[in-house]
Amino acid sequence: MSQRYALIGVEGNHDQVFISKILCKLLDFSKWDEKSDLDRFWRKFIPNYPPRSGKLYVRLDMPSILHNDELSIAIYAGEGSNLITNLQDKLSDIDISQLSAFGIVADADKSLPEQVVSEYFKGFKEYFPEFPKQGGLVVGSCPKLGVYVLPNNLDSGVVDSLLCECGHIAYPEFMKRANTYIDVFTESEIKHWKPFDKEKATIASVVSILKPGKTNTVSISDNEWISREVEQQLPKIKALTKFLKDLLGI
Amino acid sequence: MKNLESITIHQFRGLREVELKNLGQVNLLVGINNSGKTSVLEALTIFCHPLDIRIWINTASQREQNYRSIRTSALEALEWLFPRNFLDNIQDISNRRISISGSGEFPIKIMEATYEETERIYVSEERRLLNEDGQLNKDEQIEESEDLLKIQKGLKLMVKLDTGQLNLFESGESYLIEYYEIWEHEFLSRFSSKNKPSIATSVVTTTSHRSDIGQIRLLSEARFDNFKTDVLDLLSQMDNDICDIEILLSPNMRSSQFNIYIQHRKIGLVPVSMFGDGVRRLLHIALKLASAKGGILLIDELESAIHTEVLQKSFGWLVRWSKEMNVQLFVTTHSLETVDALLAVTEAESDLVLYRLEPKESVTKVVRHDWSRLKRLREESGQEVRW
Repeated sequence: MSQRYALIGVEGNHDQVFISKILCKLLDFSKWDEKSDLDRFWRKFIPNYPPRSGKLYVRLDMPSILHNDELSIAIYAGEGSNLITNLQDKLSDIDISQLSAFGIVADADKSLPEQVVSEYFKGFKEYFPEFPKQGGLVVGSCPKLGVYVLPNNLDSGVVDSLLCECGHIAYPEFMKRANTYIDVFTESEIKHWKPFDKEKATIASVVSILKPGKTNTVSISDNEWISREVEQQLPKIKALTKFLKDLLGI
Repeated sequence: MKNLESITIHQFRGLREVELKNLGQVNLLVGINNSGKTSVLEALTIFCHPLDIRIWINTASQREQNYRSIRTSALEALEWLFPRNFLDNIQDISNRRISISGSGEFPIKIMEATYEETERIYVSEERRLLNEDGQLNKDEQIEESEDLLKIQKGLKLMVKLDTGQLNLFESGESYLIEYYEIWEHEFLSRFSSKNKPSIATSVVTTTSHRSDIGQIRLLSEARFDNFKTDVLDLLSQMDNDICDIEILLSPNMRSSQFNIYIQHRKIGLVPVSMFGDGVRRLLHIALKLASAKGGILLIDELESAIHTEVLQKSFGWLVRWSKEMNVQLFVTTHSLETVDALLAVTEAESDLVLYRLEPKESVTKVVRHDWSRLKRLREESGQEVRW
């Protein structure tokens, strides 16, 4: 049975599977086996279906649960900007004194990294007055607290920006061909794209070859976008992994 | 401002430092068994009537209503209101202290009480009469000094109230200290609660609807307040054929004992005691609400005896009338259906607040969810909030 608990909030299911992959592949955590009993500490995170709101198509927000012999980690994906509210609700209803780590891995897609950090500081200072005001920094001892803004706490971007860099190391030829394919489309054909949609489309193009018919999340989980080789060659992944190690105290 | 805006039960029964902040119109207490929900209701009752010893004794004895064969004496029950810890130093009376503080319109801000056990010797009246009448044979007749003298146990209670403001009491001080002596087997008529600070308080226990005591008076009061039509509305949630309610002299009784009768479209006039628990419970809650006008109503296990299908309508009625009559509700529940039904019939931040009691090593932790958060937790996440 795990002795310590860590809660990591992320802004979407791509981020959730990306962080899970790093923790499993690079830091040797295991996914919770659904056949075993879920640690009682996380029982408040189990979603109920159907919700009383009547929204029958709503995606269930069950966190990814990972563990090693000492630590049980929940990676909770909120619904974009609702992440703060959702996590506040969860934190208000659990015994946070049992958390040895609480962190956020966010994207800098709509705001600058420092603005993103500032929003999270405001959101969580009620529960964790020491919550850091700087991205990439881990503070406190129990719980350890940190916020990391993808891709590197400096530049604008999302998890797909980082995945593209991973792809250039893991699947260089596929990425090259995907870029060529994407570049063929004219401005008018991609005028509906939002920032960083080009990166998402590039990843999806490679995924359609690696895992035909599957989603990006399946490929991030099953393929080699994250590996020790990628970590060695990519300082941004090294920095993110170090942040997670510091946060989790491992 | 509400009668009670916040309350902190520093010490009472097994409760330690239970802080109920930002109280609402309906305050819902949840928690596992033995977490102290009923104790909170009892602490509130006493805090709202700190100088009414009858209320102290009634509150202390309330839990035994269902266990008439295992009676604890009133004195012993009173002592159990005070904190007990096996590990505490028994000589240290600071451990035997009730301490509750609150804020709101009610002028009492701090209430503290301590007690000491005491004894006195008295002449056993019964033995004395038997002796004098010669009803006892020679062997049984004994010297007065030996057997006519009995030891009577008692309890000296000290209650200190602090208003935080000068001149609220006759003494002109901000505080008042009252001493009471309560003796076993002694009638309590001389304890008057007139002109003592109090809030109108009614208590509904899990079984009090089964007792007829006081129901007729409550119904009479409701009648005078033109409240009866709405009480009938509530009862019709349970049975559509209920059309009137009256206080009548029973035709088959020789004594002039009045009873509450319900006029039913299909079966005629029926004593209320013949109806099921649900009807009786709703009637009882409605009448208790009316008697707590401008004060607080405490209901243990709100959902008790009420079928899930009528929870929402019944609670809608209760919330509407509690606002109308300016009655703050404190209710306990073990039921998620009750939480959801109350959420469905409330709509403002201060309408409903949930407090979850979580007993820890030395204190009772309180998790507070206001209406908005509770609604998100229940309706969007479907989250369990009772533990």
